Amino acid sequence: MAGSPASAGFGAGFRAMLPLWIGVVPFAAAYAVSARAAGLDPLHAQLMSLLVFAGGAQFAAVGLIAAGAGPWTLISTTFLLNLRHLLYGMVVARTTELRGARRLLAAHLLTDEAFGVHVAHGRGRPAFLVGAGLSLFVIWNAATLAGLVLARSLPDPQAIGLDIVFPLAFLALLVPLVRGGRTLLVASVAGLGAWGLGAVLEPGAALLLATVVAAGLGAVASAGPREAP
Amino acid sequence: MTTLTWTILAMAAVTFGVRLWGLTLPGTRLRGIGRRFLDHVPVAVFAALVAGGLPGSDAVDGAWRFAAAVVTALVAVRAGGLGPGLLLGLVLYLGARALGWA
Repeated sequence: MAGSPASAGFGAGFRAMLPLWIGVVPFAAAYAVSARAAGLDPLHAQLMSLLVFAGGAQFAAVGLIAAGAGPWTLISTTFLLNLRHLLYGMVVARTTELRGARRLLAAHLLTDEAFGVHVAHGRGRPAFLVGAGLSLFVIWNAATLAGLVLARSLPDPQAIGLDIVFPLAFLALLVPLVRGGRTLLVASVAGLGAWGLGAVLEPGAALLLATVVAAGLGAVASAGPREAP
Repeated sequence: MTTLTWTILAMAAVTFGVRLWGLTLPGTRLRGIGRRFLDHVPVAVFAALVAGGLPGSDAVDGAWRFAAAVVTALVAVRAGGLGPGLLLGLVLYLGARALGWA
């Protein structure tokens, strides 16, 4: 694939995700352990990682299954938690042309992390997005499988502090994008909003609402003299 | 197929559908406030993800997590890229935990 214009950036995208693997491995393994504890058989636990491929929604589903929730609760919760991906897709589509099979592949691989590294380092390069997404897909599923095999001997990632990988990674992606008063305002409103709303709403809903309010505020504030977003 | 299999397939369908919907919408043709809104989405999303995941289990743990975030942000400004800042912030926080400070 290397060298062809259509695939330019695939390797770069794949490699850009590698620093996040250290955080992804314990969480995927923890998902597998939680799934087994909730009563899912290994086949269904792995199937969810392969087909749904959305960490937050998978953890939520496992919790709901453990609580005895029905199919419609699982499906509607998944929809709500992943609604922010609609915004990710719209942002990606503005700068990166995706067609045919590559668009379908990107749609399956578009996660928080893939969106983050693509916006920061891969705008305009569809292969970069696919590479980043596939990198996460491979490690998420491999670590799910490892978690299913080693279920009883794995520590909780939060108990050993590795849950901090994700906020630190998104902070490292955020900082270079804050280039003036308006972006600082947007970041502050989104951060405070997500923190405050997180106490009363599902994490995915809190994130979506905080994002929409903050980006909307930024859009209104940007109606005046131009400032790079 | 079992009910659980169908449920997982439906979960996959709604997730895929939402992602594909966003990628298919004509965002490139947006003008005015719609375009400016999308311009600000990455900053808003990243800030919300940081704020949602950073708070610690107590004040001391939270202070060390905040310190790790400051280190990560400073290194990201100076060095750019994802790896160096993430690594140094992680080393600081896990080091503090290993020493029993966090």
